[in-house]
Amino acid sequence: MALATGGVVGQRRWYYPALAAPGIIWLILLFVLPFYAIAAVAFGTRDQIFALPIPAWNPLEWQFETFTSTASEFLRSGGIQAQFIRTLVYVVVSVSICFVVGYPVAYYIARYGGRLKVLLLTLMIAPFWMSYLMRMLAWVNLLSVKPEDPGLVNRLLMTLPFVDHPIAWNSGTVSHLTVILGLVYGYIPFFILPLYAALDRIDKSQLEAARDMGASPASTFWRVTLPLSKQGILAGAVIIMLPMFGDYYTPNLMTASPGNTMVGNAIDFALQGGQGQQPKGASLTLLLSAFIGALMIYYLVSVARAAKEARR
Amino acid sequence: MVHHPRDRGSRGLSRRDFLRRSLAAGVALPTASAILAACGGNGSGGGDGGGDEDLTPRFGTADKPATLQLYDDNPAIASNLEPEEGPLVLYNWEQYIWKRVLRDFSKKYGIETKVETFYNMEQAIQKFQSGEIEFDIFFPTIDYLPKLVAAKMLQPLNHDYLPNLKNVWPELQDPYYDKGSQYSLPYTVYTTGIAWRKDIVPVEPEELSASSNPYEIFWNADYAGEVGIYDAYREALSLGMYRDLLDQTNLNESDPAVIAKAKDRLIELIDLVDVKTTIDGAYSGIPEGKFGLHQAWSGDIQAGPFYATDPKKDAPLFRYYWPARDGFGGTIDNDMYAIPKTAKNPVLAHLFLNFMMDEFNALKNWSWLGYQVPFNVVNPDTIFEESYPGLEGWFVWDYEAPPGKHWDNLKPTIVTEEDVKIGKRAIGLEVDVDSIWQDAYSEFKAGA
Repeated sequence: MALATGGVVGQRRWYYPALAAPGIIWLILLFVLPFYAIAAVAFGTRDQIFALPIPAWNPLEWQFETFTSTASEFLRSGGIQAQFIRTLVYVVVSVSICFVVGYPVAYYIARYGGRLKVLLLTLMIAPFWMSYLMRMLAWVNLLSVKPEDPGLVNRLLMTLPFVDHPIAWNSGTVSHLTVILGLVYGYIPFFILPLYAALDRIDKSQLEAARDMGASPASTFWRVTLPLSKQGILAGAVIIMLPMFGDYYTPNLMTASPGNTMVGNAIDFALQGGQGQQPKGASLTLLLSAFIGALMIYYLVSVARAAKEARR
Repeated sequence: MVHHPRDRGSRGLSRRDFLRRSLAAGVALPTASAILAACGGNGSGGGDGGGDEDLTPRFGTADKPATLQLYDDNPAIASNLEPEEGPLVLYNWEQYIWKRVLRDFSKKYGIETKVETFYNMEQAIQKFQSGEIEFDIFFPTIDYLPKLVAAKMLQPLNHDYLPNLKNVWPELQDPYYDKGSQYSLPYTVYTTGIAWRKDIVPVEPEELSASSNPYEIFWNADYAGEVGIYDAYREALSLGMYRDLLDQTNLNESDPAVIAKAKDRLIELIDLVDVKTTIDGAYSGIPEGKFGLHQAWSGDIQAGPFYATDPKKDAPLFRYYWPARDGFGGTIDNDMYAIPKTAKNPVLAHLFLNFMMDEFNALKNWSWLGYQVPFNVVNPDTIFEESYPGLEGWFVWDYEAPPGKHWDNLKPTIVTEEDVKIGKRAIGLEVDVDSIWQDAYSEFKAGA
């Protein structure tokens, strides 16, 4: 009997970890290996005729000149430093707007959606069945400045008494707003969905308990709902921040102005626009990954802490 | 890389392009590239190479023409061979040859013709080098031609198969980048000039011609929000150089101070006119009215009527000016055909080149492409009115023109043999010099 039990335990020891195998294989093939390829290019050399990258697959042969010179560019004002700061501002502002706009939407659907929950979620996601590029190009036309044929947004604005000419959405200071709105529009559903899931999971009896203890509706929200949805906010923020940091086509499509380029544009140029710049592009990719990695570590620590608290 | 009109990359998409491209989108990191046996070269021009084989790319200039190397172990094919059975495979920029012309060739020789495409030269060279793709005809840019020859990736041409080369401008039958056309034949020719819409920028070409510096128009704050330049580092920085140096500009400049000055000129454009960098701004942006003024390849604006929302209204508004014709300096370039050493159908490839050197076939291709062919028969004074027998009304500048009329305002987009003599060309740069150009452009693009 004891032997039989031991056999079952032995089987179980392998059974559940084995279920993770597809995920692990997936990660190795589509994350670890490509990431290693990027490192091999960043730390590799170039051939002297075509200036094409020669990846250094053996870490003992890695050379760090390109990487360190690229990293030092972040310390010099102008150039990549300006692009990095701009990217940071765009992402922080965009995520904040996603929070301000997305939280009430997720809250409403989770708390008051009732039987219409699925329908509301579907309607919210419906525009996103279209390709990202298509939606951005639609915005380009909606925001068009052409004096004789302004876009819909400008036509609507010009019905207001104090707007007498189309707003140049792709020029000057306003262009920053345009890119940020493009980012918000492009990614907001991916913020709302995990947040909705977190809000939907909140046990209503906890809210009722707060009210029973004399908390006002506002106080209940601030002291119960909001803290309990923190993980959803963080998850949503992480999900949208990652692609935003690497984005380069939103500024390309929305304004095409050097004043709006992000780090992703610098990587795009190094990898595709120039000759022999792939090691620099790969170095930029590694540096950006390191920065995002640091943010991810904060997220993971925060999740672990929340899980620990929940177990108490 | 010298930027190419058909290099659409990922930096700007026309409406027509984006759907197709969104399917193929994605940045592929180059995974591996074979180390060339010919890796010893330092990328500098000239030299006879001493006693050993000369594996250094020879970059010719107008002042110092280059005869590309011939190698004993890379001979041209023999004369009078029978053509292979095909299929003939072309490796070309996307939408850069008319399928109807290919069909004509297939019909004539009873073989199949296929086109494989690439998005930019780097991608093409990587696949070429790794043997990932097999083809019979290649379309290299001028900066890569000497490198491909030095790497023995192209085969010399046997001119016995190419009697029609006589139809090409003498200047390009024996071009300075490949004396004697040993490895290449010219395909299309185009100038880099200034394109604008008269309704937004109320200036006539004559006014630019009479001005002291036509390039200053890009720095005119009156046109803020309307100005675009190509998102291509050599073209963009060249504009910055022309702004100060006009005809003294050296498109292959190696002095960091001159390159930095050009970069500063471009940075000025950001605040002054809120400049945009695009690839489609000339060929679709000007026709659609999204831009009032754009740096432009002549072929882009020649095809403008096709992209206009309302060609009858818009096409008469297009203007094009190439400052070199008035002594201000300007860029010219031409594309070329070559046959890879590894071609499976080298005889057929030669026959194809000769077919494309035929006047009718070449002009038929141009009529669709908008990019001109450098042929003797092209008379800039009459080509608009007289067209070419059998191609009347086919040319893109006749698109939607009223019966019997032509969009004459596009005449300056026609390139002449004289233009080839006066135009400046960007050739391949040494890797280190190229990095200076690219770093300068990156700084401009950072918008700092």
